[in-house]
Amino acid sequence: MEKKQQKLSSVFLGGVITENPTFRLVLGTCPTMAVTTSALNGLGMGAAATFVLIGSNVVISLLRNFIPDKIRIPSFIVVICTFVTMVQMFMQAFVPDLYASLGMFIPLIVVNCIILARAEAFASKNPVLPSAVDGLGMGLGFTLAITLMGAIREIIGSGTVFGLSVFGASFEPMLLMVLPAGGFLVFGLMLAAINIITGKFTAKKAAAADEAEEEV
Amino acid sequence: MREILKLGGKLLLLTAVAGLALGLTNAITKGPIEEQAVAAANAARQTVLGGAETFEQVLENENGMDEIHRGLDASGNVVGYTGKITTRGYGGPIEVTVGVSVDGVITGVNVGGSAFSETAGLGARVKEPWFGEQFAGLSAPVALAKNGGEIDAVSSATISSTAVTTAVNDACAAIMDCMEGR
Amino acid sequence: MQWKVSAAPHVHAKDSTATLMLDVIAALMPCVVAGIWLFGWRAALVIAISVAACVLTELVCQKIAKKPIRINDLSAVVTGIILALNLPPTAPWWMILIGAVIAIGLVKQLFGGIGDNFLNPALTARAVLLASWPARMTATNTASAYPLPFDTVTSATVLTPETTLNTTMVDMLVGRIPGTIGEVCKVAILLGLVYLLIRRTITWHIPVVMTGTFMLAVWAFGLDPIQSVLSGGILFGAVFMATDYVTSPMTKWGQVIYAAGAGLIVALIRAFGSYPEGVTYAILFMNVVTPLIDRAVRPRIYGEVKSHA
Repeated sequence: MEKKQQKLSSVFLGGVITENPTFRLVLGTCPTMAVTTSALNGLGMGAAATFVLIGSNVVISLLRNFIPDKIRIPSFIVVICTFVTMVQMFMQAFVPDLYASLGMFIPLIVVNCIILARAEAFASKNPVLPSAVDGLGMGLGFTLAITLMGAIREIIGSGTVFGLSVFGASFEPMLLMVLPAGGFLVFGLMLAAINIITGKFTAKKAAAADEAEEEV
Repeated sequence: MREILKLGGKLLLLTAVAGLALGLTNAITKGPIEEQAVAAANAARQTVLGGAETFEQVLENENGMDEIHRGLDASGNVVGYTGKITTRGYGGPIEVTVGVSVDGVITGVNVGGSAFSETAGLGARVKEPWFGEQFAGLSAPVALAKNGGEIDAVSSATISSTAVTTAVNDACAAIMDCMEGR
Repeated sequence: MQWKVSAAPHVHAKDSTATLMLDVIAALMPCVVAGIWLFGWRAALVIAISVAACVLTELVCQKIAKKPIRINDLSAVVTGIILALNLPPTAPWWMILIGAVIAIGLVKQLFGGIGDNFLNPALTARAVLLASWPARMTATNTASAYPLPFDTVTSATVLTPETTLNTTMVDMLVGRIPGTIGEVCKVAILLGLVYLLIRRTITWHIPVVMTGTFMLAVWAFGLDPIQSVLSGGILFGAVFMATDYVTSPMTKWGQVIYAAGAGLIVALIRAFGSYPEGVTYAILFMNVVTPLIDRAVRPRIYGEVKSHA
């Protein structure tokens, strides 16, 4: 059964902000930790994952009536793996530096929970265009999140952002930031910060709603 | 039984199409990938032996070395040799690539390796360009400054620095053997 | 509301946090004095900056969180001193500041303030600083009894293999070896231990069991136990850092298990690991294991019958 047609714009914005896969759904944290040692790595991984996400969402949505319910998980995995392998081969052929620095995390996009979760929760139950938009939104949300995190870790941990020096030669970067422990630290602090901000935002909205009610 | 056949059939169809798509992608990307691999290896050798354009492999996994290549310039003259050796550092293996010119002078040293695991901020600094650049222009055997030689070790990373220096000396010895046809 | 159950007995003593902390500060004084005597005014500066930064961070955190200001319980002062004693005398002011913010702000206040941290604050800060600026943290002065002037020597310490230092037993006891401000003078540490035991701030279990297990294990692994216990931070860690109330088990047997585990881990790292110093990681690891130990070693309630008689 198809869900009621949602507005495409709300689908898109959901993926980017309100249901941001990294900071609100907390999916795909494995590549988030590992790949965010620099902003460029985050951007590259995000782009690759977005391509896979859109591709797999579209194909799975197209096939949603063809794939029997009993074998839906293996079918989803086949589709996702195909796209990931294609991405991997294209990256190896045409952007070898990025391919080398992302390393084994490119094939690990297959098990990035975001992709399987969206296939199961959205693409298999919605028509093609909303699924594509959902893939785009989620992918963009993921990309923004890990690029931001990568930039933070790179600035504090290497003194550069996208390879450009920020502080000059005398800056002694905090090495921990580009090590795994720093990844956990930054991720935790960012989650806390985002929770504080959204908390204040929803409190304001609730207060405004209360006021509106009172006036009526 | 019919259901199993139906399920299996659909899965087969799906995987067949997927396989086709991948085969197509492979055909498109195979060439560029191979070119990239060769270009990368050549580029790595060129960083230690600047004057060379093409390389011929002289030996592989012999005499303690991973590989030795002869470097030729554009007109086919031998410019020097490059050698790659893997040594044991503080935390794991270190790959050292050395370039030696025909008169036995070190032209460049590159430190790295896919299993490189020296301590970040300490031993890992042997990978930084300034460390390898110190070797250029010297002749083997070279030694650390604290042992009377010309190479400044990385502060607080004596073991990694010593490992690389020893590797450079070993590589040079093997390359000299090669040059003299031994 | 979640009530935390701690093990019985729940007895009220007349100590306040402040009097306990004063005792700890007094016990740390020999190490402070020895550090300044050995390393000079730089050490005094490090200690001063560290204490000030810790107290300031606690003040700011409690203000932001709108909690009551409790800096006069002196716990931040203690953390400040211990953090400083874990740093080399050449530590730059910004590194000390970052360490203080991590110790008090991140490890202590962010998790709920005094009593709620699950890791030793000063030790965690040291671990973070060590991973972030390894060259700075391992640059130690070769100590001499004459404070000025100093050359910074980044040398292998007595712990790194192939060390070329020739130190005598007296040197290691008195502290004329490279190391952090507080860990080098073993005599001062022992004086502090005696004071803490007399004042009953701590019991003998943790320091003795940790050091004893360490020496036993190290001997079993083929190293010289006396040499090993007099080098590095094992003694300082056993007396001042492993004994932190909040992050160590509550029962005597729990403390024994905790101390034995820590001592064993230090020995393993010393003998087989590639880090020269393992005390930080050993104690932090056992800090994390402490809740499990507490759960396993609950004291039996008087009158309770064993379930399978």
